[in-house]
Amino acid sequence: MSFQRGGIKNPPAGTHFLDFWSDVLPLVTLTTTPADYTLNNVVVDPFDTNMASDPVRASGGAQVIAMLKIRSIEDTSGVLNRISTAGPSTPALQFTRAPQVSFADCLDLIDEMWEVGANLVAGGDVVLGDKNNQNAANLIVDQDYNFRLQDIRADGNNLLLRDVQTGLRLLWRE
Amino acid sequence: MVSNPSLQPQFRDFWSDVLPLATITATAADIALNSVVVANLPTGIDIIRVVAILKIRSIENTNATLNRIDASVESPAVQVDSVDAINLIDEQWEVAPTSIDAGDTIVGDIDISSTVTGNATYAFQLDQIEADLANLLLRDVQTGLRIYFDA
Repeated sequence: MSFQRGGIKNPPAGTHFLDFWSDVLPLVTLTTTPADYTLNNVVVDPFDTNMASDPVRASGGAQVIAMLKIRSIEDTSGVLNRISTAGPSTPALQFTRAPQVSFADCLDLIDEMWEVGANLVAGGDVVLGDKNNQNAANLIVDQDYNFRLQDIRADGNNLLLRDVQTGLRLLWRE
Repeated sequence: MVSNPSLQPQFRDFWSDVLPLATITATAADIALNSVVVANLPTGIDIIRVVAILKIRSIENTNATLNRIDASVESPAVQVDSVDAINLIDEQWEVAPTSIDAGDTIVGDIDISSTVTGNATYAFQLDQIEADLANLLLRDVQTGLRIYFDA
């Protein structure tokens, strides 16, 4: 795999970042009906007592991306199964700073993603978001950030996501 | 990008050797994992955040019934020098009867910078961990520390 500087996932030289993760959520059960699923919160700790209250500051350029980790994915329908956007549904990972209720998309979930054979267990996934959520998040240290899977469905009943973790990567340039 | 003159964190990861097998039974117990040696950190740094990492290649259930972590009585955790670093959750690591499932890599959400303070050897264990049933096998377990510091 090549390393290319300048993207969100491969920050340019002089960029610093800190990652924060949630506890594990043992199970999320996706059905054929589009629904929202609450995931575990991420707490951005006050990791430096000398820094400003907003670690990435309010001005442009800093980046906040979301991360989603799933240990394994299981189909229990007996037929090949995967994410579906039929309906239509527009699934996404979303987050917001608690206790706000206005969630922002941070990672799009795609039609036919996470395909698993009939009655099989497949390896999970780690997905890093392609959206810069700096403004939507308005990151402030020592705060909870609420995550959810929004408007998500599977082709069959059910698609099980096991041991789900959510995370935030804060990046800024020095 | 915005300038933030107050903090320029860098990080280094330190890993243990692989532990081939950790067997979780239906009785709560402490299971020693391999230690992590932190060495050659730059001098004069300010450690601002430390998180533990747990990596497992695969998880096997040797019981003929669905199996998973039981945290209904105890509060199991990955500990570093006897301090909780990663919370382990009730019903985590569920595996179908008599089958092998994918492993996991978990980065902790607990800042243990008051425990991991510099170059030293840090002991890891699974504290008071149990499964619903005997046994849940964790294969090829590695532990790690990610140390964020301001130079």
